[in-house]
Amino acid sequence: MEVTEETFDFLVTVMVDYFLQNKEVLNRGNQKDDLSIKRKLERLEAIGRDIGRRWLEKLAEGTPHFSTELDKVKFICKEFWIATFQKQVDNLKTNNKGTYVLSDKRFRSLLHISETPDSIGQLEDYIVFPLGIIKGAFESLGMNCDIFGDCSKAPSCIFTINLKEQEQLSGPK
Amino acid sequence: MSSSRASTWNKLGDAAYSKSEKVSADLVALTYGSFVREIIKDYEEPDQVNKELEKLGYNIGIRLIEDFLAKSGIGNCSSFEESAEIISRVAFKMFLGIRATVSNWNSEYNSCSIVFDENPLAEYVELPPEYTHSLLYSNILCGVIRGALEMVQIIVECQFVKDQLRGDDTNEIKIRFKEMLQEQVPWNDEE
Repeated sequence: MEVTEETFDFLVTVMVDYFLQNKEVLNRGNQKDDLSIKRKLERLEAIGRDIGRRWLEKLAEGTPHFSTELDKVKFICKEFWIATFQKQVDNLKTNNKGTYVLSDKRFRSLLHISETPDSIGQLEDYIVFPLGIIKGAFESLGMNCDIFGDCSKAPSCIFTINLKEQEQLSGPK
Repeated sequence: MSSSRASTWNKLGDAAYSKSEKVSADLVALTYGSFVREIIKDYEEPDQVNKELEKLGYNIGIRLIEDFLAKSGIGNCSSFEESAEIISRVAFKMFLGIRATVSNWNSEYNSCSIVFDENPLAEYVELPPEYTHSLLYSNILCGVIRGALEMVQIIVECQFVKDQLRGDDTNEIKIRFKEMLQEQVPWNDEE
């Protein structure tokens, strides 16, 4: 079954707004507020990770085992990216030491936000959720990582993924 | 409802759906499910959760209507009766990929039900027993309908009365017409 992509965009937008909702009120308050905002964003990222993990498991069902780390990353850049963001990553670079740089010239999550001027958060806030999804996808394939997104040239977005060394995850749930 | 109009609307719905880019319903269900779980954590009380879901839906509805009118080519909804048909035949198809039916009109024609057997939001969902009879899992849809209709000056109340997640045979949203607002002149910017 398929649903129109607008439906998904609307859902994600209200969801991000829901988690950022009290931000304006908080901004007027005292120093504790920064922490609260940080917590809100962390929560949003955690939800994204959970969704990304489970979503990748579903997508990878029936695909043969990945023989190399690069195969896994390629799966994320292509199949996973298409199923989640409607297109594949435009460019993938690696230093072969566990750092991958993925660039998407028209990143789905940023396209919609720039068309919605009444959104609550900053542009950076709106990539926290998709960053979580991507991180969850990496984790689902046993690659624990840190991920940074540079959306200064939105809707283009550059993702830097640093895999953490030798860290074993408990694997898919 | 004349059958030729009904089939015109069915066609509009199909056309709008086939033109759009699609996302797997699994991803939507997964995302919605995680979202509902977080709202439950925040509010705990099922009644409060239901209210929040409705409110979130309302926020979607007031944004979605513009997109809907533009993509479907439907100029405006002139009456409540017609709007109910358009929601079920065009909007449900266009946004959710499913067709709903309108039934249970009362004799005054100010209340009806939108009935649908498939619910992409609720795929793979099983409610924990303590929520089965209190949580309106897909209540966001009631808010979407209310918000969207309000933007075309039609004020309604929506309520989930049947839900397959509760073991009902189908899903049913009851819509009650409250009033029609007068069009505000300043919004009518023709220039």
